[in-house]
Amino acid sequence: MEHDRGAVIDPLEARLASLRTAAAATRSIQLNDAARAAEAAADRIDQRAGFGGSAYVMALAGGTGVGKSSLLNALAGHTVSAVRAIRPTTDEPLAWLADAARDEAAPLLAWLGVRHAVGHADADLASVVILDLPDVDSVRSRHRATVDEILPRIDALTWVADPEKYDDQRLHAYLRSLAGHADRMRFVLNKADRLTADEADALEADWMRRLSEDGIPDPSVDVVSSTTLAGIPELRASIAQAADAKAVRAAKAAADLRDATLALAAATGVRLNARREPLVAPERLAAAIDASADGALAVVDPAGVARQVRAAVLAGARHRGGSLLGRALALLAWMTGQQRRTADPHAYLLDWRRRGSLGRVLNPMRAVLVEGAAGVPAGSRGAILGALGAEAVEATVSRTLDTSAEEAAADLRIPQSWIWPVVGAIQLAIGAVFLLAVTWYLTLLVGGGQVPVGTFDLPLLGPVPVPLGLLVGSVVASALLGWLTGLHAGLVGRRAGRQVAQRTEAAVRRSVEEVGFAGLRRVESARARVADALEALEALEG
Amino acid sequence: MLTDSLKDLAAALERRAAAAPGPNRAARAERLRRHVVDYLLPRAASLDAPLVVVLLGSTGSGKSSLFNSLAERAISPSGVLRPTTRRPVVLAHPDDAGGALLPGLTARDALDIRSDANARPGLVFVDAPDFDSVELGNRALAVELLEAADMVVFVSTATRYADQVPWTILDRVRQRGVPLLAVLNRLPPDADDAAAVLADYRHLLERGQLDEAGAFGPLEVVPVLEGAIDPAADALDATAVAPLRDAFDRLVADDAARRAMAKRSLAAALAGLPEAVAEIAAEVDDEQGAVAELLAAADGAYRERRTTLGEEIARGAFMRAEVLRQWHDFVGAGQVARVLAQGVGRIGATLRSLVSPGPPAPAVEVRDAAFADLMALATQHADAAAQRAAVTWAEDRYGAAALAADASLWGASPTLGERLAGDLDGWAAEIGREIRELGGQRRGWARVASIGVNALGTSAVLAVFVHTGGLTGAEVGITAATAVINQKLLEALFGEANVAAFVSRARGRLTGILDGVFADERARFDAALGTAADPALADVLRTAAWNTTAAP
Repeated sequence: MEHDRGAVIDPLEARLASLRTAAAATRSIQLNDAARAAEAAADRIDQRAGFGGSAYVMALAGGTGVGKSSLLNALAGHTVSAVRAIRPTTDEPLAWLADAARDEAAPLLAWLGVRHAVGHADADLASVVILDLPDVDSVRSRHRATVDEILPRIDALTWVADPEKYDDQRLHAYLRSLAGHADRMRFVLNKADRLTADEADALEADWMRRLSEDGIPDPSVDVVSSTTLAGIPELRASIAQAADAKAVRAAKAAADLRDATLALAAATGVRLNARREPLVAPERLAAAIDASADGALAVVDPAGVARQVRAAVLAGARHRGGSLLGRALALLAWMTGQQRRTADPHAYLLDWRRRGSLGRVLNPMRAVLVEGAAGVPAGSRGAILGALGAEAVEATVSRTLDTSAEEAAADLRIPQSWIWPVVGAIQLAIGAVFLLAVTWYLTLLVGGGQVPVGTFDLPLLGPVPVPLGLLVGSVVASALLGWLTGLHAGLVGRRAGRQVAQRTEAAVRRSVEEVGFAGLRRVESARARVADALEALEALEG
Repeated sequence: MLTDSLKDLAAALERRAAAAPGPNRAARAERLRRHVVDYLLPRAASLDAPLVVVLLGSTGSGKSSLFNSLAERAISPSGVLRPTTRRPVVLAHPDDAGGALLPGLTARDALDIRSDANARPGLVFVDAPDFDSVELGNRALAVELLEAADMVVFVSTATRYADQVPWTILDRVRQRGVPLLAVLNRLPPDADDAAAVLADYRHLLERGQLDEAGAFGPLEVVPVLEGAIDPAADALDATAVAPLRDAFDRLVADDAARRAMAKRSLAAALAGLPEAVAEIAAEVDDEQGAVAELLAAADGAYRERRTTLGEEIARGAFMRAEVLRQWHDFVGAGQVARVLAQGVGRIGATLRSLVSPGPPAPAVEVRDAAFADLMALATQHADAAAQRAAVTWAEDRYGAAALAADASLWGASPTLGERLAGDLDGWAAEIGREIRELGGQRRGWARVASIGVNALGTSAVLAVFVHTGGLTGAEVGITAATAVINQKLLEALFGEANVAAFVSRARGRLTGILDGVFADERARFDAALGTAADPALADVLRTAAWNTTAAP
């Protein structure tokens, strides 16, 4: 069977594959109805190709009483399908096919749901299976349902009308929806025996005008009478001559594919003349991402984090390398909670929720998503917005900012320097000297100028008494050292703060873009698959 | 009075037609309104007006040929090209062709009225267009003529008689109770076939409960064979349609019979009215149910988000840190610190403020930034509420239609920002006025003036926007620190009790503004459903229909 599918159908495989890919992508963005229809079409094309065989299927379709069954009987030259005066006559489809093809066509007919078949031995019509269908317009709405079910599976259609019914709304509604299959449709105006030759010509022209209004230019119209058999031999010859089954089936598959792909494109808002155009223009999207990220940064406040880092570094320096006085002040700051307020970058990061609302983050995001959804048909908008994550964006963004803040906090180290403990030791030593000097003068003060332990020469260093020198020197040295340490710590803190701020900013920007606009990227990639399928279609159609 | 009840009903139907979602439902109401206005009202006013006989049938069924044979000359051209009749031809005796004939259609100049001295007086024949061809306008006209008819001649053919579309028309004929005559054209020449088709058609008519509708006793089908035509008159063969012609001739001869026919037609139409109105009322009920659910969904979404917005404002933490820092720096230094300082500290503060006067008040910047933050928050929740409501609506037929018509419903309204900015400016102006008033009452006006009314206005705005949220300054950052110091400033100037009352008043006004904004945002959803949201309409319709049956 495989080789039967032949070279004509083969190029179809690639297009079918891209249709399936596009359908799956469409399903992934929750446009389930459109996806289901495309998948059904792909399945149908696959199944039809699988039947192989040497014939194509042509159905006689039309309203009740126009003479579909009579036409089949006229083509056959004897009664194949029952004809009656009371309407509607044909309840179930009936197949008329070459005896030789009956066995081969059995599975195909089963797939079509045709249970009745009549054979013939006419070699001219060996490559076409002709179906007599129920009507599309009678009070038996089941008939119409039967036809609607079978029509998509049929390779070629012959629409039969008569002078009474050729202008019916019901008929033309069908034709308009099937205009994409015009290359495999022919039209038969039956009951010509009721018309004069002039009338028949006028009516044929009028019908052709109507058909071209339906989107079927240059239709092939035969005017026949199944009563007098006028025009029947010509119609028969025309059907026999046009019967290149493979070409008909390939054309049918191509048209189905085209219809299905175009339907997907319509549902996803992919325009034929601008396939790759995104739902949201790149510059518009970039602006929205910036606005959203700026909004997030206003809340997370990296500058504030940097300030906290600097304060924490300073506090650390003061703690390790501070003078006695410095240490006392640091202890005080810790005890009053001042340090926790101004020098705790971890807590500050995690507490971003108390520094503003998500509005500035969400509003530009939502606006862009709603704008993007406006690019698809109204029926798809709800599903697309769901796929874009517009509703969930509040929770997602909030969670993301939490994660970013937690990660930034986990990565955050308050830098220290080996210099500070050294400075601390020196400061302690200076403090000891200072205390010694202070003690010297205190004892003098207590003793009323009298040295309690024997005589002692006041050590002099040049004109300056040593205790005084030590007192003043230790104060000056401690202050100088403290100032230098502060300078150093400030430098370290500023650098660390800047780095933390930069890292935090980058992380927040990245996560806002990644998470907030992930739905849009998903939708765009699905639309790209649909555009691929369109492109595959056009590449092969030239 | 019957005419009054009919007029009430017509008015209710007009409202319904204007408000109905979708063209089909609107057309149904409009059709019934025409029935009331074009048929029932004139007929109720006079039973002696000429009887309107409308020839209805599919395209190509031979209405015009029948019309010509009834007229006994070629008036309405028949032909092979479908559809033939587009503009209904009316045949009337000169005595009958006056202005009151088919007022609705005549007013639109939709009729081709032929006045003919040979026509049957007291009977007006109308050749209606088809109801099943591609020309949809024809169908509308045919349906309208059916609503205005005193009698209907329904023409079908052996090919057509089991088509679906004619039976939808016949169903309305049954419901309306209009006296009916049936013609079955183009019967096959074979007598057995013809008999079989005729029997099948009669059977279908019986099943469609149309046998009772016969104009003269039980419904009889007049059979016409294929080819039974009189080419000279462009008409059906005169003998084939003789039963019809005879029946009409008898009506012309007998004034009482004509009057009785008019009366019967009117009575049947009135009897059919409640059923037709009930169908429309049921549609209205159905819509009301759906509409009520949709409105509840929108209401719920906005209510929930308004509550969340209120909570976030009450939490007092929606302002950006950088803005607060700016304010904190201003309030904590210079002039303001001098005002706040007490006793001896005041001297120091005064000296310090002379050396370093502190930053100038960033009153306008901070206030605008605060408003921008509030607007971002309000927009966020208005946006989310709209989206929630729209997602629910998209699942529903009416909701989806409303969303398709107005895509802006998927988010906050585009003018929300502008609207809020205006409202908040008004709010700030009111705060400024109160500060001037408060400052004037106390002796501290000089101190108020030294800081500036603008800066104090911003201070008051922040007092509403930013709170410590119950936590102490030690636990939280810049938000609480600013809140505390800002509060101190206001209290120092105006007194604790005054500030509390003043802030609570401002907060109340803000709540009012936001309530109004959210109500208007939600009102877009109400408006999107249009006047379909008229809960009383179904009852109005039913009452009006009931009144027509109760009237004498």
